[in-house]
Amino acid sequence: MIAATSRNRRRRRIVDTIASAAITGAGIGVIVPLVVILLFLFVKGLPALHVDLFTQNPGPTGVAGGGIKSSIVGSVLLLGLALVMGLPPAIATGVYLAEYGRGRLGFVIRFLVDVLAGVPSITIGIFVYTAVVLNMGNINRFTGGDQKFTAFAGGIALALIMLPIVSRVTEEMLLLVPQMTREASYALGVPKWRTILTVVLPAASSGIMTGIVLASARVAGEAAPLLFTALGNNFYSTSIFRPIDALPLRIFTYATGPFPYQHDQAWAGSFVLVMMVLVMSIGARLLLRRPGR
Amino acid sequence: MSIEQAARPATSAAEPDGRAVDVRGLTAWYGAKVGVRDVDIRFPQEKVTAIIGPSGCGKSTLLRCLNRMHEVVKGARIEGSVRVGGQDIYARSIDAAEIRQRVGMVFQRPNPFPTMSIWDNAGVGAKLLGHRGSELSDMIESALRRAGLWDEVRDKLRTPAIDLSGGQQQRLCIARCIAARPEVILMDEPCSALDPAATIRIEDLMRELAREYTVIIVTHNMHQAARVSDYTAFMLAEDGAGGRLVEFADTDTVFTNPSDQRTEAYVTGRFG
Repeated sequence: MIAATSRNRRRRRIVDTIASAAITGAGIGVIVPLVVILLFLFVKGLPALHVDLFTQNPGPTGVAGGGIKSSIVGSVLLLGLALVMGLPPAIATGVYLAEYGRGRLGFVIRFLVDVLAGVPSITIGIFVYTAVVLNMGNINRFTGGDQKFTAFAGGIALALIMLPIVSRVTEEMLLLVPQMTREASYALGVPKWRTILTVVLPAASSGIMTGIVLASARVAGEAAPLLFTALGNNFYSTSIFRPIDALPLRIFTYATGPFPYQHDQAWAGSFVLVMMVLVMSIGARLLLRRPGR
Repeated sequence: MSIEQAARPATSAAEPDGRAVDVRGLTAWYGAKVGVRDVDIRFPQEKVTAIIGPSGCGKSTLLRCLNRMHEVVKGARIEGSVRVGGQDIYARSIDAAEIRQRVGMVFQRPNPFPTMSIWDNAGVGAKLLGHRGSELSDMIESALRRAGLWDEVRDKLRTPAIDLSGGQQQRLCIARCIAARPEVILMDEPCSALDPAATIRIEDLMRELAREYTVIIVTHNMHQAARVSDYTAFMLAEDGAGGRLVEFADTDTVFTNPSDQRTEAYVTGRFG
């Protein structure tokens, strides 16, 4: 009797050890690719880092030297455009879904937002190409520009990718705000819209900020939707209505180019891009952890 | 009619009702479920009235009907009428937000706004009324003083309200309510999340507030009702058909010489 119990116990302990080891192994396995990628970037990208990379624009093709300043600036500008155009509708949608969209219309919109989140980014690119790039003639009449491919179109493409991410994060963060907090505001005679603006959104702001940063990190690495919207540019440009370069596009061009200096700069560019994304993600986590709830 | 009432023509013009709350034939539903049924009661002005009864007897529901917070819950509706100072608060032309400013509410758990400072918390209602600058500052300070919180927070008005203790937070919620210049203050078990010391402070405050406001509290605690209230209403839900008002009288009568057997059974601790 006692022997049986102790045997039983031993078996349980062995199973437990094996299961724990398997799960821990799986957990470590997941981060192996990340570590390898980072290792590659450090090994290949770090030596290629040079001040010129940030201060110089690409030189004539085939001539070593030069930098990717135009791509870094372009990426930042595209991200800025995406935020300016994408955030207002995205946050508004999130507020609608959380605070008003409890009925059938809300259900439909929530579903469509999820569908949009699943649309491949290249498809978004084609859509913007058709809707904006091919229609630039009409837009240029107002702006006086003469380009078809523009930073503007690239910004729209990135904004469309951000939209569903930020909407759903906003919705989820607003739903986390306790009903008690809303009631406190209603009970003071604060109307619903004002309650949302002054009480609910601020209470959810750190979570929403995190979502925005993560969405930014996501679109910062997008190349596909920029291929035929922002197009890329071998020259430095900060104009919204001209083609503009972006880090992912530059990396693609250089990585597939014939010259060794291009390969080095592609690695360095990748390193810069990953660091940007990493800094943003870590920043977002810190934002979320900051007390304020 | 006192001078103070005469100075409030907006609320006393219709009827000389001042700040009394008059409930007639009130039935409240949550969807298909009845919360309270056929309640007639008149809460006298500038008194503390306690609503007591066992869990699920509809006391909180009744309270939430008095400032139209009941309708915040999805599927909730009411029948009957509620008049505050003679005015039907469910009249079609009246906005719920306006009623909630006039009939303030303090909740079971302290619920200061988590992102705001002590100062901003206390000022939300006053700001909503359009007060700004030194006028606003005065209102906030006087509200904090009347809530007995001023001396404890005067040096840290700009710190987050959630850093206060539970009892202080609840007094801040009372200050926030007062600063909105209500006529009636509803309190839904305001001490149930507080320790005994904090409870006593809030109870003193209730007595204090009754000099200017009509105070209506819901409480689980019969001793609290006996200590602080002038009048007591006893509610009971017997047949699952919603809570009804069993007895309403001055507190002494309810606790020492109730006219209904069920009231007597409850206040003597035989059930509930």
